[in-house]
Amino acid sequence: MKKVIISILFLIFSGLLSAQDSTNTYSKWYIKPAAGINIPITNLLSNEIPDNLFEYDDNSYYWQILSASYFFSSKWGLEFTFQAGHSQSISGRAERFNQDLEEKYGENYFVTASSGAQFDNFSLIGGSIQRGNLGIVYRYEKRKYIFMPKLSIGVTSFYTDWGEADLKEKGTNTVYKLSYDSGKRPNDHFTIAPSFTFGYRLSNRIIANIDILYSYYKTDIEFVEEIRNTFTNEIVTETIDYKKNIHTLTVGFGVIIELKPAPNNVYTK
Amino acid sequence: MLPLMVELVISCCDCIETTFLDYTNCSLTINNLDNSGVSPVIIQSNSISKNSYGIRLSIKRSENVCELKRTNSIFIQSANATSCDCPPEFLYMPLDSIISVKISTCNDFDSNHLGCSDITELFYVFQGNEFTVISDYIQDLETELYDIINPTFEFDILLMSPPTVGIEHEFEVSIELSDGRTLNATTGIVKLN
Repeated sequence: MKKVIISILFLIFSGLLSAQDSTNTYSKWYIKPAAGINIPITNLLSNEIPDNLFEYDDNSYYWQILSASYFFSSKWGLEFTFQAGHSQSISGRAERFNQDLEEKYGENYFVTASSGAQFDNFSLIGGSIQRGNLGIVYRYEKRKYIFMPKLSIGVTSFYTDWGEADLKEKGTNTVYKLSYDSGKRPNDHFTIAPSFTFGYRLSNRIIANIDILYSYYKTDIEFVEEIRNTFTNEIVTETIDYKKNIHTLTVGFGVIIELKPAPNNVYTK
Repeated sequence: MLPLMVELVISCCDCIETTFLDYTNCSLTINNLDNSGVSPVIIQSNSISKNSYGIRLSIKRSENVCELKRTNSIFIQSANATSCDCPPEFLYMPLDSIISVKISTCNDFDSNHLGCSDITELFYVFQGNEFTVISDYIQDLETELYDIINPTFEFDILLMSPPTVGIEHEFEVSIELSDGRTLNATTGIVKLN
């Protein structure tokens, strides 16, 4: 996904630079820094132990460092956005994984657990949950107000980790090896995201805006829980299903910066 | 000065010839293990749960120097190579090796194993929370050592099929070595409840 984003950014910024030289009767380029929250309409996590192996949370916040719109006419344009998402609960999942195993097995077993959740992949640029969208945008501007409905497609991406534990039965020589594995680490999901932006022009170049975005994607994740008796090598497996339709509402606030304001806007008239 | 400089450069990839030393397996001591906790621990009490019983075998090894060869520099007393894939500086080779480990019960154990029977098949080597058949473990044992700082080699065997006859038991461990010697030790009487 990173390569796709870098390619798109290259195209956008090369276009941004060339756009500065041309005269126009409407604003061609917007950049849109923003931040907001993701509110789940449906939940991916389901109070199972492997929930703690997702670098994801249903409730999260995001920051939109990279976003740009190019209008090829006064009304229509293309918009690319990249949002990085995170949640505080993602940082504490390794400890919760251990606690959940202790709670489930601790009465009869000595639990020694470890998981990929111990290794934090968080970055300021990418967060924990990445979402990149490319879509078509319509612009309607009336005095200081601007309305922009959009339809985007893109990718929502996050990691899943491995988890394992040694279960030493209390009072006996029996030991079990417990493992959880989803079979893949990065999980990329094709996403459809219609949205609406309402803006209020604060100055010649700056428009304050609120973004409301609905997104849908379908996950194809399942964790296999395997319990192996290390003496008899008997194996019991169970599949924990995370194949779900995920609907999310995203609400964000930010500013639109017009790189070259139109000569006929309310401030430049 | 020039020969010193040349030798300094050459020494970077001039590996020290491995010094071969010998060691021998000398004596065997055994301790009763209680594995009811998170890992096996030596227990002094003679009463242990039959479901968590094990034995720790400690074989004391002794260094026996057979040959010592070292090529010393004329100018540098100790030329240690760190950047090359050099063989180890010291390698301890066994003068004898373990052929077999046998565990016998002194008392009646179950209907198939009466007193003085071989019950080796009921014990398994326990390492890293995994179990290995004793003969397989012995066969795969790494016998060449890089050092002999700790001269005692230890491993745990756990009883994976508890006794069905009697409470008081005593086990004898015999280790047969390739030079014809046999190392023996007994657990003493232990109550397996």
